[in-house]
Amino acid sequence: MKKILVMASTMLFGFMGANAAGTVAGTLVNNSATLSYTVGTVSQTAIVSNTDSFIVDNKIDLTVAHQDATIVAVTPGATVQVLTFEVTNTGNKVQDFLLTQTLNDGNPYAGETDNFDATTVQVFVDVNGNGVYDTGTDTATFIDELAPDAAVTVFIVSNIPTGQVNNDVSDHTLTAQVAVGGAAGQGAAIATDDSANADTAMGEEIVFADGDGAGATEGANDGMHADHSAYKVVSAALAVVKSSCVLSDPVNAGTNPKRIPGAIIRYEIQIANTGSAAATVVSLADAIATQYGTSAANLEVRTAACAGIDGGTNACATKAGTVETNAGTGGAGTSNVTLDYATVAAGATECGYIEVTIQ
Amino acid sequence: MKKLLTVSAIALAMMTMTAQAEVTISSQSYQKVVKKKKAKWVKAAKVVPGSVVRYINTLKNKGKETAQNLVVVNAVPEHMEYINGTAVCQSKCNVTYSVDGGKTFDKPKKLFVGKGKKRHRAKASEYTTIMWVVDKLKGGKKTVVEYKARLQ
Repeated sequence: MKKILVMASTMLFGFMGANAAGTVAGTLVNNSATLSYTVGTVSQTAIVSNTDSFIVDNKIDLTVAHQDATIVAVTPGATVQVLTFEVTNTGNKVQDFLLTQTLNDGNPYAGETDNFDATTVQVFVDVNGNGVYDTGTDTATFIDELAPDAAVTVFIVSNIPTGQVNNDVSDHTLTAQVAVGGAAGQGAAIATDDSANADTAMGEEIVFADGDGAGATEGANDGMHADHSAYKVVSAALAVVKSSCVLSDPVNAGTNPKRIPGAIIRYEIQIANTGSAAATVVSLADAIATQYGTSAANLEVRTAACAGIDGGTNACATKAGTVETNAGTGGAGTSNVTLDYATVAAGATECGYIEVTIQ
Repeated sequence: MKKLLTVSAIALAMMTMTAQAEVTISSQSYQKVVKKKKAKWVKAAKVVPGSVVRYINTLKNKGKETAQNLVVVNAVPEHMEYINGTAVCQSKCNVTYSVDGGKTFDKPKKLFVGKGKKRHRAKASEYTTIMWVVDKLKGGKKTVVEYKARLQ
């Protein structure tokens, strides 16, 4: 019981006393002095001054800070993409905070420029405090009853249009505005402080003490603060180049072969990924032309850029790279083949080969 | 003779009564405001964490006798932190501080707090009480003792 009482008194002291955000608004501060003196050698009765008192005013201060260390990578068509912020009540009273987001107001990441708008943008509070956006759980759209020194995570949640390409950027700014706290539910926004009103020692006046955040729509001492973050499309960018050479013909065999009936033609199909993300499940379907009938042997995908054709003579050359284990389907003897490139890493180039015989 | 004694007794009684009510003390808090680049101290009203408050205790000797050895003791209010070097007085005085709620007073270099390895010279913000000793205050005169503190 004694331990419980000690803990209870500590919590009470913590609430009533000073913290990093300072003495709680509404606290009464009294001061008085005691005077004693002598007249001649006679000590006079000590007297106590009046008690000078004032009420600690409501210092409204807050910060909004993005939590994503790097720009948030997204892919075209992705939904429920999350930007993470933290809102901190650095004032000295429990407050509500209203949340809004704006587009194209800058971002904190060097060299990144906004060029598209994410869609279906919403703002949610991390209600369960796990730091992760949980669909269906984190549904609150304002911060309710945030204590001095306390912080809460806030998410901007958006969808990425399917048409966006690699390196596209969408800027988002989260703005928090202080609102009346003290009761559950959304309090009214506090739009002005009492700087224009006469001060009263025994009244609890509102004093905006917030700094100028990153948002263009807010400034210092306005009860608002903001910060930026951004999405960046990180996607694969594939380019396909197809070319051919004559491997052999029935007359000249492999020496200066010509494209005559019975000649074997090598097609090489190069896929280059110039994007920032790996392309996965990459497959290429090729309907073999009727003049060829069906594909010949040596369907394969190699882990290197195409080198099976001499760039100078246009003659077939030695293929580079190693054969990937999954070289495609259809295979020799079929008219429709699929080359399976599997994963083409960002910046990588792979080459597929099909050999056919002219009918 | 009897009449003379009676008059003397009344005069002595009046002197004693006057002496007992000679000096008054009043306390007032102020804070600095700056308007048009000019700073002035006004009655403390808009006080938020971090605000500096100037406490002025005004001593008035309404009598004719000189009051001596005027000792003013002012506990630093709860939630306030004394600001180093701000306890001063208008006339000649001696200032000492307490770190034990006013039980003992001493000069800053002799004030320590904590126990064992945590024992250290007290910071100004750890002072609990200030004591000014003003040598004297002549009849009809007033003087002030003051200090500044910051709201936590």
